[in-house]
Amino acid sequence: MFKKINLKLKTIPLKIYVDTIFVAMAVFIGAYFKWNVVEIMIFGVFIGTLLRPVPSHYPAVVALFFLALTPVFLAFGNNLVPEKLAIYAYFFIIISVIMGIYEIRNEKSPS
Amino acid sequence: MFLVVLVNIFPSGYVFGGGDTIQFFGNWENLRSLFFDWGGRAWFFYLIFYLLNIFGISEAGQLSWYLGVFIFGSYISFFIFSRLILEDSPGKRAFASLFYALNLYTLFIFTGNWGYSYFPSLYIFLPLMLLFFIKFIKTQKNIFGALFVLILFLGSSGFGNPAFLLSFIIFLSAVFLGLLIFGYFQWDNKLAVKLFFLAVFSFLINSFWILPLVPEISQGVEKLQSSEVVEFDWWIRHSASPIVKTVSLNHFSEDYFPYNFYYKDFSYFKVPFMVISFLPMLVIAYGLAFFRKKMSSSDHSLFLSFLFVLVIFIPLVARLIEPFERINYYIYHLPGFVTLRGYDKTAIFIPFVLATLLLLTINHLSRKKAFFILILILIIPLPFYLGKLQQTAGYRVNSEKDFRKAAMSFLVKIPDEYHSVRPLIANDKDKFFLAALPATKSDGSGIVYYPKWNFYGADMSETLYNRKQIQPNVVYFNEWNFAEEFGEQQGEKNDWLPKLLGMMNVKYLIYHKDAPESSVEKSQNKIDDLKNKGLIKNIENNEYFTLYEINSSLFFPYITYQQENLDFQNDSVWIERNLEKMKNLTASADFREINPKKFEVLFDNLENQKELVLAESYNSNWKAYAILKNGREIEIENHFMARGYANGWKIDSNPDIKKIVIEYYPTRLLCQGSAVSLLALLFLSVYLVRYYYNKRGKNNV
Repeated sequence: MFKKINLKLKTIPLKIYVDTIFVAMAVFIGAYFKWNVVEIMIFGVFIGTLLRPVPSHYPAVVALFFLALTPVFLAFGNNLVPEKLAIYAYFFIIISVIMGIYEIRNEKSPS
Repeated sequence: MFLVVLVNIFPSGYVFGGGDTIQFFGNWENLRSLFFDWGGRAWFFYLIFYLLNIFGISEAGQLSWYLGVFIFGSYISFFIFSRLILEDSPGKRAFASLFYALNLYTLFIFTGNWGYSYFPSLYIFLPLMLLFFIKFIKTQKNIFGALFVLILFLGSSGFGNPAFLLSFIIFLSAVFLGLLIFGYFQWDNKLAVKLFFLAVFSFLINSFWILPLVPEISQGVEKLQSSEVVEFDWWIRHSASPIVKTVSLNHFSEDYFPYNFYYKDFSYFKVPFMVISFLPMLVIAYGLAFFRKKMSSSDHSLFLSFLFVLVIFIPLVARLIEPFERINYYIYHLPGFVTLRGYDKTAIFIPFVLATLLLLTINHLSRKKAFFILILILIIPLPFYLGKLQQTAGYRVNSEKDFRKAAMSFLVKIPDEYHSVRPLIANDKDKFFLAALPATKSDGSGIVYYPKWNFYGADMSETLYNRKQIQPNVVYFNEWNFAEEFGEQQGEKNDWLPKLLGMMNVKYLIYHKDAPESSVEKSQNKIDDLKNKGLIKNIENNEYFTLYEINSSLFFPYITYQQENLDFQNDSVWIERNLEKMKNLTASADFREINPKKFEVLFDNLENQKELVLAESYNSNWKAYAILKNGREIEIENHFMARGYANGWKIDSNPDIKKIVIEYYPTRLLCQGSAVSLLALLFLSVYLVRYYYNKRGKNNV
């Protein structure tokens, strides 16, 4: 069984190991600064998408989700949650903009 | 839009005043003073009010006119800009332009006091500036550069507060960077050269206000930088705008609609309006998530570029608040950024960015959906449509339904009594200051409080009478407010006050009986005592104020010579004992006023002409030049603080000195800058006319 696992691990490219280490470091950094779980996850996603870009509309959908929730919580008289949600939406818009840079550069560069 | 202006007509007989903003009384003397006092800044803006005054438009009419110009101007400007994005759908362009003209930000400035100031005029010109700038970098055609410079010149009043120039440069740089990153235009060396010339020409055409600003900025920033760090940090924390407010165009303070819902009988509508204020940003996020493939590559670049600008400006508007506390602490402590501490300096650009992104998104919505969404978006600034903005909806009056019943309002009726003494003060040929007492409640900026006619703001007397004022809530002497001391002082030894005022070139004193009772109670008896002693003379008395003339024997002329400078002490006993001696050492100087900031003084090399004193608050930008008999001009270097607050110069005995010129240095630069601006404008006009005729010629062929 260990042999099987060992063989499987060997087939995984080195870049995945490196990326995982970076994401893990991001999580540790978040924990060090005492961010909450969502913030650590967003930071991890941010580092992950830098290493492995995704289409810009993926993070945009998440931003839209958070943004849509913001007025809902506001309507219920909660001020703290909407502010947090707007911050998360903002982070995902940043990720979306950065992914947009990748996309446009890829479109322009001759393949 | 016409209906919006119509339902918001200002009540006749009222003027706007409150906080830092007071209405301009458009006579020529005021316009002239303003031109020199503000170093040419915002002069264009107030020139229009002067012209309206000439045409007999009342003060209330002028306010309605400004609201109209702002709304129509913003609409037209954005409509023209939107041709860059959308050529063939005038309906959607019109909607987006309406959103730019009527939104929660514009509602905030018109329900507060800023809307009636000069700097929101930047809002009107911003889309046009951006249009020509983007066209210029995209096509590299000189005509767009020329049009950009022209609009920059016409909209220069928006930079009357120079912090807006800094924020505009940051904004323009962010747009440029965004467009470059997202490949909206191609960078090459030719563009770099053209941009350099664009910057140079922009500077040249605006020299008339930029040049005089340079010495004032260096002094102002120095002052701001040296002001209490704690105070500055408090300020940027206090005016912090959370993301949730910025993206919905709501003001951070919750003093404004819809968080402050002015219509108390319909308060159940408050939450729905708070919710739909997010609609523009939601539509934009929807576009970002789902319209990527529908957008042309050019539109997509533009969309991402403006989203990039939004991402940069959200933290700048946010200031010291989560999650930007650390980064903004460093950013706002960068040199110059201290001037951006006010919310408007950065927030003014957000509606433009949102309107552009909104237009790019709704472009891909079906007409039916777009119509429905846009109607909802346009309803958000409801008070614009319900009317009487300042009468019922201004944040000062919202607790009442009628501004006349509210404790405070931005609409004030200046009592007729104030107008009645205008001829006496304004027509007096002497050069003097007007003083006001007693000290009242103030927020530290020197504004005054006269509850009898619901006024709390910058004193209007200066523009009403066209006389400079010694104000009761301003500190003229180092950390000593004499008006406050006069109010607080116990006992009967109050003779120092008229002596001090006389020394400060004050001829008339307005004692405000319309000030808060507590202030009047503290000082009324003392004023009566001074009158009984003959130190001040009653000229006019009514229920609002008493106008006194300071005894002429105490009056120091505006420009004087003195034999020596006594070491002035901020102490009433010292003043009481030494003012007579100071007066004996002083002699009047013969001078000619060239403009309000430049004076030519006769000099005869007499024994008593050792020092020259100008009765203006000490400022190192005031310069004195000795003009020699051969016409040479030499700056008198020994500039000191005279009489504890004023400008003094020690004059070396020199038989060659013919006269002395005292000048506020920025005014000299104003004259030089105006000449440069005129030349640049002439060059630009010739270029534009030639371009027009060449193009017409080609079209005819």
